[in-house]
Amino acid sequence: MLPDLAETQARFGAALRGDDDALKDLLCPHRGGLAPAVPLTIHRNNVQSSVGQSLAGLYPALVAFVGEVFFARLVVDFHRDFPPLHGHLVDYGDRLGDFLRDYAPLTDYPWLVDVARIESAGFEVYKAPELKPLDPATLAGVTPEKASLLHFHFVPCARLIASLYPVLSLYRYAMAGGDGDETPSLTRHTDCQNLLVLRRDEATEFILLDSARFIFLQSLQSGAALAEAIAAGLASSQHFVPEEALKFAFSCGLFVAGEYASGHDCSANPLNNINRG
Amino acid sequence: METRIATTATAGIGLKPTYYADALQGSSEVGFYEVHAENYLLPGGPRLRTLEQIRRDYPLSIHGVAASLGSAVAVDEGHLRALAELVTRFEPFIVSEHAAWSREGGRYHADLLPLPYTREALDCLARNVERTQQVLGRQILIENPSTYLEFRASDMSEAEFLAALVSRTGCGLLLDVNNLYISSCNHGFDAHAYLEQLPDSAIGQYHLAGHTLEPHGQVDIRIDTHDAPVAEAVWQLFQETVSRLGSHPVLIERDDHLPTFDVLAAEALRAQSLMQAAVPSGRVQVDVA
Repeated sequence: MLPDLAETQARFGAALRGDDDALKDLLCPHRGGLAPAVPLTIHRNNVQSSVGQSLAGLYPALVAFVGEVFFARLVVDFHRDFPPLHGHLVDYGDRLGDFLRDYAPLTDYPWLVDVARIESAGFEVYKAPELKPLDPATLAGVTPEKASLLHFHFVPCARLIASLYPVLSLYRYAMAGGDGDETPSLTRHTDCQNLLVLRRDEATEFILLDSARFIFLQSLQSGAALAEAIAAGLASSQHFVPEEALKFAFSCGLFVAGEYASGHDCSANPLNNINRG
Repeated sequence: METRIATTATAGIGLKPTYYADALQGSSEVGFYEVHAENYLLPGGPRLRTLEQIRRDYPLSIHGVAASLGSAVAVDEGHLRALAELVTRFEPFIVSEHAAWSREGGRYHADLLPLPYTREALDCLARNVERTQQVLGRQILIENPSTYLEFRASDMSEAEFLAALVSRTGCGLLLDVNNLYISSCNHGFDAHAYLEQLPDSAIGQYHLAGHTLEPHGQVDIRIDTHDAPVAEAVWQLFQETVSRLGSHPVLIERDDHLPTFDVLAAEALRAQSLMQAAVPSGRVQVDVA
């Protein structure tokens, strides 16, 4: 007795994953004597090709570093461990960075994980919904005391990425086809780079941040009040200038309009009155 | 809302990011654009804004590739809701999907997989097509697949299966002439007899694409690769199809080895000329946002 549709499709799935006999008694013999493995191979190739093209589109720098042949092997291994759960392939592959962390063939290249992270972040901000950024003029009436208690929500088209490696230099080197001005060094720990990945208008930007500014923004993003974030920035560097960091954040449109905890009853502009202490 | 009139003999091309600049500039050879729904199921961003710009000037068709309407399991309601939002936003004149499946056991297989042509498979596909039409609030077209294997369980032909689906659900058909050619060659059935079995009033669109011939010893197999110009044999079958089933919007598909915009536009023009030569064109009113 032939199986029902659910069983047929389950067996087809097993065949796609490599079980050559899963469909053996379900298929008509080919009129020209073609082996059943041939059509199965076509479908397996279609699956790998679709997934591979989708991932290669998301991770062009990673492809450039490992080469197309190795990337194809990586796709097979990733797809085996993390098959897509739905058909929105544009969203498939966000776990590739985590997968690379434990991927035995690449454990000697831990910086590739961070390259994958910024590529993934680049696509996340690219597809993020548009939200109106907060106009700093909105805060004009907030007293310094109340300003220190402000909490900000970040726009969805921004991501902060910290790396122990010169990840942006590596990314740009790969995207330039290895023709950059200078080959990034992977031996100096002073080359660690912290980034803001931001979509502004139509373009995705990768902006390098110094450590203090990064910590300040990361604190705000994780829910700290403005005063706490400033303290974190100052603890990181005595050269940290809160006013400049906040102006930078506003110039990038990092905060969501209407998404902050505020006081409204005073006239001083908090940007001019932030206490460094 | 501005109204653009598109004739049934209009020809379009599959819109890829590579062609955005050309599409934004405008082309007299291209009557409409088609996008894969899943590439635009995004929360926001430039891709959607670009499509909005293009949509202001051209009719759009939305072609789904991942609804997996042929699965034994019910269609994914989250996918349908996202598709419905896209359809509401872009007001396409055609929405289409496939007589195929991709989901089983909680996994998604990134391919359009073949169905056995059985009563049970028809029930499942019809249930999912009906649900999709219900959520979208409109008719959809279902595309015939290109196939490389046949199931022993099948108890009707593909054309009979599709005709029964139309009768059950009220859906229309997207006849992919390249797929028909591929399947007829791979399985040795008569493409002309297939055309005779289709309900001509259900045809709502044609697709044309290139394919690859892969030799396996004494046997050749044709694969639907969308990476080459439309084959001459497919153009001939298209000409016969139009003379039998009439003139409908036709799409030139290319997903790999993308040529310049002009090359695809020239293929679109050829398709349009063939239709205009075959039968007088009717007219379809299409709303443009």
